[in-house]
Amino acid sequence: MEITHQNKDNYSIVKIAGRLDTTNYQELEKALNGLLEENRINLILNCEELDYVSSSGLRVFLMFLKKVKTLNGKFIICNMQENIKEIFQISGFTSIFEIHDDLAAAEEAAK
Amino acid sequence: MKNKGIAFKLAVYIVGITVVIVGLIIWRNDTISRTLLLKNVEDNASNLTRANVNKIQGVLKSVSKITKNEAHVFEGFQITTDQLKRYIRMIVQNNEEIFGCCAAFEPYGYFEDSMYFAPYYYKTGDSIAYLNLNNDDYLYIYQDWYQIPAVMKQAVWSEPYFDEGGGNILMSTYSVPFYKNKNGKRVFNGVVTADISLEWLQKTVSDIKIFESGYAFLITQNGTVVTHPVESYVMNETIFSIAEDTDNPKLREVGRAMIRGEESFTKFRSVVTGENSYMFYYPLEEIGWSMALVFPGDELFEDLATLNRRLLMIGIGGALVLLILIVVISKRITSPLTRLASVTEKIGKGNFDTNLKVEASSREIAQLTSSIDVMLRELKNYIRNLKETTAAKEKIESELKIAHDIQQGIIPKIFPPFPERDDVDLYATLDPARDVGGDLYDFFFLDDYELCFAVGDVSGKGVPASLFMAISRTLLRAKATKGIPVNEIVKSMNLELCKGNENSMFVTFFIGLIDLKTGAIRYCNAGHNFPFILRKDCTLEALDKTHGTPLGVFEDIDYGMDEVLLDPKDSLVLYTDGVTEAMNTREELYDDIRLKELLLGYCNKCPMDITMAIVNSVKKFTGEAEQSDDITVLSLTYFMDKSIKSEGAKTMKKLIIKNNIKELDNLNVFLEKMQADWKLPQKFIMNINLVLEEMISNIIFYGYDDKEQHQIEICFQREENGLHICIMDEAREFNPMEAPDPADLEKPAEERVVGGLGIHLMKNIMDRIEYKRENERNILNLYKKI
Repeated sequence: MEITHQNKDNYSIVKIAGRLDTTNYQELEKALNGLLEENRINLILNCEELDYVSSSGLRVFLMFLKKVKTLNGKFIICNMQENIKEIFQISGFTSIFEIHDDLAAAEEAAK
Repeated sequence: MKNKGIAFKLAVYIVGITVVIVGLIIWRNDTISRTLLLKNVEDNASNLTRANVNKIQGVLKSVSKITKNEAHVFEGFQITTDQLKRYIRMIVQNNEEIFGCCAAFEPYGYFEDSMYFAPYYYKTGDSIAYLNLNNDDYLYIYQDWYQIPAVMKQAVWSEPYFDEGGGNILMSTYSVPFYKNKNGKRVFNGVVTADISLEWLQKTVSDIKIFESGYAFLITQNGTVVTHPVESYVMNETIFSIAEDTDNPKLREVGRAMIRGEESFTKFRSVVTGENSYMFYYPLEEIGWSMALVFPGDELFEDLATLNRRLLMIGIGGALVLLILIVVISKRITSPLTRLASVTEKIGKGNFDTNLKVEASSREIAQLTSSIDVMLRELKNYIRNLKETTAAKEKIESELKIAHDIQQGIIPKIFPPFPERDDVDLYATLDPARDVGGDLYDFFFLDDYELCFAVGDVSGKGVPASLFMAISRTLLRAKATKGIPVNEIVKSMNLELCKGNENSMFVTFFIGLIDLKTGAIRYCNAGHNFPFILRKDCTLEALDKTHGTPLGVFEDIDYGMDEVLLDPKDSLVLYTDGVTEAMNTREELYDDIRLKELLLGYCNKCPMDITMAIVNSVKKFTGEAEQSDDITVLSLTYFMDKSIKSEGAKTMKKLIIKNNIKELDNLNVFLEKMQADWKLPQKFIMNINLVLEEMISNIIFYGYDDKEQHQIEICFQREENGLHICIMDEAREFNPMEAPDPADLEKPAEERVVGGLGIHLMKNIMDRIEYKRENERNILNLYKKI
């Protein structure tokens, strides 16, 4: 899995590529914590290249959604692949996350 | 005392002891001197008293003698009144010590017509006066000096008295009775007396000078004080009344002894000064009185006291000088020590550039300073060396870590290695003693049905051994090709390993080629431990043939080979001496007896079971002891039923993983391959991957109570419209169907629980789920339609 991020004016775009599973979810946790520590509370997760996510990864998403909400920030997910979308659906995550189909819409929402 | 400095201790001990010694000397000197002094005083007092007593007695004796003679004269001769008077007057005139003299007759004893006759001559001024005592004012026959000798019929000294109407002075009178013949009888006719003036006696006694405040006194036989420096006592008090008044029982005792006429030297409290004094008393036998000389104690010992005071002053002065000397010397000794201590403290805190210039006051200090200097330099060097070696060591360690990774990378580690094959199953493990080891195992197919497998053990351990191991393994891959006999493979490997082997390293080596169509194994053993065949009927055979020396020893060796046949479900177990020579803390070897016993309990088990059983058993046996050698085990089970196998290879797959979360990577690799083999949709296999990850991570994280290694078996069966999956594990009983489903899926994010999602996902992804518990194993059967 590769995690990169890009800081914009008042939000950051985090791009996750590859597999997010039990063996590596802590890397994402660390990366997101790093951003929160820099007081970047508006986050867009670009999942364009995220091929696979397991419940460990879902837990990280949920945890940070909660954290960001308490800080009055935004946690937006965009560009999800079909199979990931399905997992979100099954998990009941679609109703609690703000999800956009493309990055532009997500950025608009984050402003 | 413990925490005081040297100066203080020396001062206390030395000065303390000196003071005690000086004190003892003074005390002893005082005791001896006192004894000597007292003895001397006693002698002097005795002499002085006797001399005075003798002087007084001499006078008294002469008085009594004269008086007695006078009495004889009056008794023996008839003399006229004139003669009588003249005679008495002469006595008074010629005897200085006699104050007055009298001849007192009984009534009508001298004149028949005159009742009283007592002519008395006494000194008055420079002349002698006469008095006839027969006047009305002074009836002599009633006086003591007359009455007592008359009654007692013997000469007596009277108590001192004031002679009112007679001599009119304080006197004592010696009276001698005289007699006359009357009708043939001796009849008392009067007394002759001689008076002595007590004034004289008092003067004599008070002239005795004893030191400053010493004095002498005289008492009569009744204890009446005759002379005493306290004038109010004289004639008014007795020694007993004084003792009573001054509450001095000792004086009363002394008084009694004096009256008894005893002599003694005794200690007592002076009635004049109240001080402790010494007294010598001695009787005046003539008159029955007693004289005492009093020596004042403090004056007596004044010189001694002065001497003692001086000694004490000298002692104190000496002690003070000693004290100053000790303090000065100690300070000189210890001040460099104190400075050294503060310097070494700085050194202890890591300040090695501390200036060690300490002025040494003695050879020992100089020695200590130079020792610390040497220590400081050595310490600097040592720390510098330590830093260097630590850095070097860290570098080596990181390089060793890399070497370990490389070594582990070159041996095949994905199990089962041939999941598509059902004619053979194989499992192997290598557990290096240090970071890198000298053991090796390898296996690979030479063609579709010929599998080559090998185990080796390089002499020594660590990096050199692992390098040699890597060379051996590379050579094996290079030399083992289809069609070359197994002994030729070994021979050519040996030739290559002997070239340039300057360190004389060698490797024991076992190599086998199994023909999976027949189960025949051709093998060559180059000095390696004998492998075991574990038959399916639970018998054990050792392949106890050796075909030559280990590789790398002798260049020109022809190795032999042997052949053995495996029946279906027979297993072959290869190992290195890290197993049989594993040692526990009691230095006992694991040895092949234990290995054989263990293996007999594992017939008809899969290679992974057998391998892990051996490794776990060895670990359990060695316990706390350090692992001394690499432990390598390779097990192989042969299945012959090829029709089923080839059939099954198409529709069935099996994966065994250990209870380590890193094994999930193997699962991914396996599933990718399965997707390709069975042509499954990407999304489908991803969902399967997700479900398996959830279930297996659950087992790994929560299923086991111990920290041992366990295995999880996953079987896949391809069905026409779907995939059947079976997960089997030895973990604690757990039925995912009974696990609570997170019921809050519709709740807002804040109320959602982080967790419990895995099982929910599985239930929603899979089409059919069945769970059972059998033989202490969880068996989870899953099915999903394509």
